[in-house]
Amino acid sequence: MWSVGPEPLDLYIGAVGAGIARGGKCVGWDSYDDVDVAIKHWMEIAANASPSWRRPQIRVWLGGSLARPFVIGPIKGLRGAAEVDAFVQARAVEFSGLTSECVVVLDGQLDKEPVLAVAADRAFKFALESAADEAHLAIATIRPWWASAVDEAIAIRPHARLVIAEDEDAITWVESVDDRWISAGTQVPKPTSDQVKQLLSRRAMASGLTNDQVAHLVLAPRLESPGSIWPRAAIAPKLGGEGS
Amino acid sequence: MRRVRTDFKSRRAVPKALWWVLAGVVALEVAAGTLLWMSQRELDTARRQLSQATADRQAKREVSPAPARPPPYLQSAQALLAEREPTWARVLDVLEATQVVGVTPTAVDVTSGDSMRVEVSFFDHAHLLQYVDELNGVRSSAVNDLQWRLIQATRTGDQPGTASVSVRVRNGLSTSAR
Repeated sequence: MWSVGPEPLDLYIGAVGAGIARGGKCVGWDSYDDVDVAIKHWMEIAANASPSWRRPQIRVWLGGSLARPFVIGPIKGLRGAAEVDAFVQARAVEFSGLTSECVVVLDGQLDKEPVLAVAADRAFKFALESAADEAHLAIATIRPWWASAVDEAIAIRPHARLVIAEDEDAITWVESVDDRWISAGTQVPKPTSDQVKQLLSRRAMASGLTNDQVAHLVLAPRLESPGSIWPRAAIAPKLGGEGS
Repeated sequence: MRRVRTDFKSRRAVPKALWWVLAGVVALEVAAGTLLWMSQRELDTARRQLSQATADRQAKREVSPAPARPPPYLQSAQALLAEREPTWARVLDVLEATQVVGVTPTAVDVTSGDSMRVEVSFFDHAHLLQYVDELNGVRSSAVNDLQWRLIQATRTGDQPGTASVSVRVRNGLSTSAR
């Protein structure tokens, strides 16, 4: 397909590791201790990796511990976007576990149905955008990494109702029935592999799910496809005697 | 399960000043458009009036006849009309209406376009002069432009004499009598 400019870079940023990819292939991956230092470091790498006559674009994917989902609503009686924003920010601390001031994005209309809300640290988001500006990068999107896991799960499990996305620092799950969100959350710090399987089994049993209604995806930068920042399907525990 | 479209990217709000600039540009555009529309309307009106005036002028040209040139036969026609002018008929009317004993018209000579001459016979000069007076006195409203003059009178002994009387019309066509 013909395109005007170079394809945007994809930058995954988690609490303990980050990677950068172009055209679906990872061109760098590293672990770190200070996320703010890591942001600047990776933004510079992205800028140097994108020589272009115009400002390079970058898509940012946030790890599960940095973008935490929860389900809220429906709530009626809120008037205007300002009241909705104040309400969900007040509830974000309670539901997401983030202790600092948050920025919350809703994926739906709060007064009509349960909405999937995603909270992120406001200071972190500001630092991210500032680093991009300093590196002369144009941010195209800032999305949760586990949202790409949901897309992948829909592709491999068209009837999926429970998706568990596992990256290096957290596990995130979202559950729905007939496109209606039931629950969502993030577990930080990331539990062990056995604990993840137990969590998945418990939630599947509680909701009466079968194998084709569950998807378990992991960030696998160091598996058989080294450097990938994209979620990959993992072996899910047997539910009701069936394997996935 | 539905896809998650969450995006934290800040959608930068357009600065208020930019809105004011945009509003100003729009207002200018509207004003310029209005002026242009009004000018165009005036231009159209002027064009219509010009077209109408041109059409009227053209129609008038087509309707009004060209100024007539005097035909080359004008003089001949006028001469012919002069010949047909009933001046001599009026002269004859006067002659017929005037009767004096002893004076008798014997000949009428139309010599030219401006006079007629009438030959008369008479027995004495008194009756002849009375005849001329009668000719001039018989002036109806239709023939009051005739002037009779005695030009010549000749009588020898007891024989009747002859005289010439001419008549002239005042308004151009003259008649003389002898």
